[in-house]
Amino acid sequence: MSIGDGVSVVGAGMVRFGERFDAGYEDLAVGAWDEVVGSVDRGIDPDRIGAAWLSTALGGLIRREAVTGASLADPIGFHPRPVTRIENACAGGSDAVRNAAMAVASGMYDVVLVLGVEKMRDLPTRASLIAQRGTMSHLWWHPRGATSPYLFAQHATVMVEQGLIDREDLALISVKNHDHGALNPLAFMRKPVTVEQVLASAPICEPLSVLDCCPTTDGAAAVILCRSDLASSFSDAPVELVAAGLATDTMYSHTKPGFGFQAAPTKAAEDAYRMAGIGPEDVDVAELHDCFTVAELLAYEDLGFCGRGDGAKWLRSGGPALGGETPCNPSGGLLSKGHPIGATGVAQLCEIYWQLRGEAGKRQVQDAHVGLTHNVGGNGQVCCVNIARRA
Amino acid sequence: MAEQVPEHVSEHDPRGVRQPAVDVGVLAAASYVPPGRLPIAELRRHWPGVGAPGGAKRVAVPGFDEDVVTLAVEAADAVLAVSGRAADDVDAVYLASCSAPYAEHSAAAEVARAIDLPRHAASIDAQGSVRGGVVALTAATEAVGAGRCRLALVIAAERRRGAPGTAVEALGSGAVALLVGADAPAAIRATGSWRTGVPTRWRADGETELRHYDDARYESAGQVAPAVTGALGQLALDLTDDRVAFCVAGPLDVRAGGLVARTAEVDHELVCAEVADVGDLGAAGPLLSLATALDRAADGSLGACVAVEPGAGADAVAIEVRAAVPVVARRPAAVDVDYVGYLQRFGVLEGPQAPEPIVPWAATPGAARDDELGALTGGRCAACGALSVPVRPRCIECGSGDHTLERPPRTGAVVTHNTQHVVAVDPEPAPVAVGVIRLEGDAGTRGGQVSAMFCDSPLDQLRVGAPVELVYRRLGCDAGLVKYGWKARLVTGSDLAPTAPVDGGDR
Repeated sequence: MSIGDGVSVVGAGMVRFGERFDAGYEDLAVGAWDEVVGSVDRGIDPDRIGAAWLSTALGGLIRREAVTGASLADPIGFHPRPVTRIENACAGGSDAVRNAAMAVASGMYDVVLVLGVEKMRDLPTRASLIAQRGTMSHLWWHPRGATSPYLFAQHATVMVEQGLIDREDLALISVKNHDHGALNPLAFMRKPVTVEQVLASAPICEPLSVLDCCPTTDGAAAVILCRSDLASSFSDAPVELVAAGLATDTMYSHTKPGFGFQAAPTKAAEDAYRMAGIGPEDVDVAELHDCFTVAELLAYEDLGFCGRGDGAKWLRSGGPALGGETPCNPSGGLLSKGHPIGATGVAQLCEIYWQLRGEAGKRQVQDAHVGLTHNVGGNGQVCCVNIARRA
Repeated sequence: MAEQVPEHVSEHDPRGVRQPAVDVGVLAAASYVPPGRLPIAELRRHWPGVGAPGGAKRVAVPGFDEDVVTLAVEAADAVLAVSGRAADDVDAVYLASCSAPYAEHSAAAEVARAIDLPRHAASIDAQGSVRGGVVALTAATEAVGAGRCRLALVIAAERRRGAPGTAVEALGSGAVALLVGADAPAAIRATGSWRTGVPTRWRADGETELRHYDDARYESAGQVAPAVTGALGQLALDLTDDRVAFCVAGPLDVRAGGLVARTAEVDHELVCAEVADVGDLGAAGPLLSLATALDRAADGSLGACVAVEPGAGADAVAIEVRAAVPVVARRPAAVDVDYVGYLQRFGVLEGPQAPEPIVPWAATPGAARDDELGALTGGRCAACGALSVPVRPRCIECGSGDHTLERPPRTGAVVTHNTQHVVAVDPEPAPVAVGVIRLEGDAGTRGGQVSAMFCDSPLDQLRVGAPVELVYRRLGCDAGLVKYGWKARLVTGSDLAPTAPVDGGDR
């Protein structure tokens, strides 16, 4: 089974993630556009691209201007073609891929662009995501003082106090992803870290320290999707997008069904596996939403890469490391590669595209046929899981 | 009304005569005065008997969007255009002002950015003195003469105002720019300084309005005259020479202007040209009069330009006009501004402000709709019995729309908690703890819980399952509107057993 009659990825490109004081929002978008157009094996006339989806989460909050489809069409000269802006918290990038895929599957367009871009470092680091507190749930009931790390740290508290994990398990995820990111020339934080360094880093939201948290990042990423029957005219090795699952949960921490697991990612994964006709054991490589270390641990279990409650054990067995059972975040993930919010989900698909085509260099997962992206928004209130495989 | 020239003006110190070794002068001059005018008659409707410095009939008023930087840019653009020289050839810009938009940050650099000077060009601020314009002209002359730059832009601009109801309230706004370089039609023959007096006009750090010692005759005879004549005395210029065609000075009032005119035996009207129409332009005043004089001067004439600051002294330059100097005066057609408009333009009166993108939440219709939140009211589902806090349109457990309002108990137990070391709120300092509370007596999966910040709680005693009570506190203050609500406080008494167990949830 596939999405409609088949949707394929025939190009992927991203700019180097980081503190890009040299580049504005439009510069980042143009950078990803140039990369994606140049990445198509047999070349592509940009005029063949019939529509585009733009993922930006914070545009209006940082730039104080409305981000619309024109925010992409204008800098890359895409007008008058249609561009839809997707905003779905941190899951917007993957949801943009999902919506673009549906548009191709419907037959409305043959070839489309998905581009995610976020310019976060036009604010001081302390004012960026921290300043966005309260914007993802009711202003009154989002507890005063709560910050983004809290949205995931609340799971960690319960898991640690219930003895399901210990603090060092979380640190090991940071170590693993920084090790991976050191192999990725487009990653932001390319310096390996040790468990001791993670544990000794500044406390942010207990039990999480600063090295458990992804950095505030500028970046952009793009993919080109097309009808699968056209893919070979563009690509020597197209990658088929076979599933896109999106699920929601309630906004408030206090209306979650519990801590130590996440309902929306679990449901999104179930839907995606069913759509792809596979199970978690069939996934060869995954890009996970490790905005905070504990988020990746939750993902192991929500996605079924291991049993419930077995996340820490699976981590320590080397399951999610390069060379392990299901390598997770070979790109370095959000922790090392960076998390330019609207671009993250698109960049995850870029990494999967390169991994499935054997183009991932030193971080290449051997014999990767099936790849998965897991992109969580808010406190788990929205999650998109997409699956791709070698065509 | 004859004035006695004080005796000490004949003092002269030959060590202070400075004559450039190379030929440096004014290549071109330009001025800009914004169109707004406050008639002094309008001012007198509100403050009977009050005049304006310089004997102005009306003073130039800046637009709402004009400040020293934008005024300076207007004049700089004009002088470059009239001179035919390129901005890219300018290697220093001097900006003199007493009213630059920043107390700390270079206004000269802002001007350099706006007119696109090359990045290697020096940007130099001369602030805090109405002598600044002539001081900057002197400095530029010396810099060109010393070979430190080839083409210098000297700009003086003001956007000043004095205390309401005083004789120095109505000051002018505008800018003058001079292009200084070698082989100029108007050569600077000498520069000189003379220090004298005690302050009669000042503005303290942090203040926005000029103050003055209110005795005009003392100021002109006791302060201005000795300073002007002292500085003129340093120029090695024989004022009785028939070739002396102008002696401009400023900022001056009419009385002091007359005194200077008699001293230099020049036309009174030219001493402080345009002051009657634009007002006291501060650091730009002497240069504005100089631009006018250069425009009128015949080839071969001599003149002087003096800037005087009571309490500091005066600075002067002697000029020989050898050929016609390109001069342009940008003067958009004048428009009268009333006193309210004048005060609005300086921000003294502020009308209703445009709404901020994020308005104080507590004042919005949304806050009115959520009025029950302050009372910690929940909705008890008629179908499944779950308690939703706050009240929701549909039950959090079963989706039913049928509920009754209920005030839950204000006790409960910690479900999860986090101590945050980086927070975005004040006044509470970090660390600040937040968490989820299971309300006492309520089970269920999603219902029966609230989120809260912890207060008055020893953070090292926070544990899953620990008993808490909800207390009413300030949650913050936004634009002066206090937001109240509920926080959680650990119950640490030994007589209280832990209450409800933690619900691990339906997996």
